[in-house]
Amino acid sequence: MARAERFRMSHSRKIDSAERYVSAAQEAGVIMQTAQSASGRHVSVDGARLLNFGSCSYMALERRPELRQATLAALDEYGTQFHFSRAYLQCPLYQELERLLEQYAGRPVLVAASTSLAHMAGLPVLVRDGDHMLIDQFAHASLHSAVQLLPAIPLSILRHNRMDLLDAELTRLRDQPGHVWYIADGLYSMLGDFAPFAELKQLLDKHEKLRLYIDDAHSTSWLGQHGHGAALEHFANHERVVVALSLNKAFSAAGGALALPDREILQRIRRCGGPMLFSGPIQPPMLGAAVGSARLHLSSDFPALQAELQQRLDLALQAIERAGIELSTPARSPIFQAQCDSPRIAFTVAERMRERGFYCCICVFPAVPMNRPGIRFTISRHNQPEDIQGFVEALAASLTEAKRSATRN
Amino acid sequence: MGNSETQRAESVELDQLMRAFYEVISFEEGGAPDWANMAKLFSPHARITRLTPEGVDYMDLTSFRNLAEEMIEVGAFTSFFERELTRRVDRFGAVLHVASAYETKISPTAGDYLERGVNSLQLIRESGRWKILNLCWDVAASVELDADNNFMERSSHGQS
Repeated sequence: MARAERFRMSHSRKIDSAERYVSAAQEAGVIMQTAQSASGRHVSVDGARLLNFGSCSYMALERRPELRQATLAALDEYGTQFHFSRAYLQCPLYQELERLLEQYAGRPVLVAASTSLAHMAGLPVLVRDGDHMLIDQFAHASLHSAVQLLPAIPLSILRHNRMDLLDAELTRLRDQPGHVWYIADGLYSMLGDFAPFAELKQLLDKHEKLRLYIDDAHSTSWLGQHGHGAALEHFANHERVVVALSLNKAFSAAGGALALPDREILQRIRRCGGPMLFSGPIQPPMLGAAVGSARLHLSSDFPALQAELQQRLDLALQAIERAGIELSTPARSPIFQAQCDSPRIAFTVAERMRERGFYCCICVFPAVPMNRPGIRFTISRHNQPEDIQGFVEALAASLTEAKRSATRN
Repeated sequence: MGNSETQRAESVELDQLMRAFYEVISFEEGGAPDWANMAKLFSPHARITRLTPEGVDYMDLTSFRNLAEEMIEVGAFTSFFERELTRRVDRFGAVLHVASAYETKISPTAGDYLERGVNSLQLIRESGRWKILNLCWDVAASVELDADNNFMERSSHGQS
């Protein structure tokens, strides 16, 4: 008798179920809104000018003259679009950008049109027949999508940051042919916690088969030498580590990039990584912005900008501690999650914060587990010290009010 | 044993079973339901049915475990706490029907709940013990309690 097939929710059921939860947040008016204007420090929503504590522009570079001038120069030189597939002919700004990013990362860098497309180009070339893939359950959705491009490669999902489970899997697979890829984020975008880099380093030493593929989009720019992010700060030029970076977010331009161990693998991905051949290029003005941003990151001015953000993080962490706000993680990053007991409380807090003049985000299922609802807020160089103090006080008051209103028998 | 003593003993046994039912499905951060003890509460012929707005899952214990493990694996839950609020019990011959109002929370001490609903259970006696033959719940049907701890369906949960 055939063995009964393992029960699994169908693809459509998963989509339909996710829509139910996302719709609830949308109907509550706390996601998928349209801003009337945004200046960095402020964002206008529903006619209200709010202090902005929801942006990923941690370094506040998007209006810097270095980026603006490079954008306009590229526009003047190449127009709005460079009408060739990169497989045939690329805009010369790509070459300049990759040269600058190599200095920035300390290793060969391949630019892609987005970080998601970098994963889709890189992983199918890096992972070979006989390899295994292990992915953190909270790894960015773009990574979970990219591994689906490799249906013939065994894939396991590991609980978040559980290095004991990774070690056990590596031990179990030690006699298998091929490599074992651990795929994870460097800095997790919802809860604001880091991959356990020190333990990963130990596992790299212990297991020769281990390869790391780290999406470090959220620590690009604000952390590490020249802003090359947490993973490159920890692993430098480790030959078994690949790091994906974002040129959006704090880098304030467009695109993504792969920081690779050597030129040979870079060339393979350039030649064979699907989106490198078939997807459209980054438009020249935004390539110009990326070149301007890369130059700024390499300049002697940049460490002072990073230090400014660190001072704001200090202010925020001190204020949060004084206010007794419970955070999901003690990690020091510009991403914070204040825990709430239910999505209903998170929605109420977001609404109260807007009434008090602050913009922050909710994070509920499916962005986080059902048992981890909360308020996600970020600290950037846009936030002035007095704004940060006011924000934390308002958040503490809003959390207390929302909890009180939700108290039931 | 007389009738009243038998009824009292069965009532105690039902209390124990319902307490155990909520204990085995709950788990701390990083843990999992207690599958071994869960199986002891159910008949080998048991069916588990989950109704959602998107469709109905018809399961046996193994399928239910597959579903729960998939949800844990993808991070839909990293811990789970569910407790009984109150219950209604009807007995028809050798069949017990239990309507068990429950709430799920992010932790036992959380001030607000995630969901409130009703687990509908049918129990029969097997090997001298009450065993769960059917478990069925509708994830979208929320309940509220009155001052006397009676529960009724709410038309809308308010947080979905």
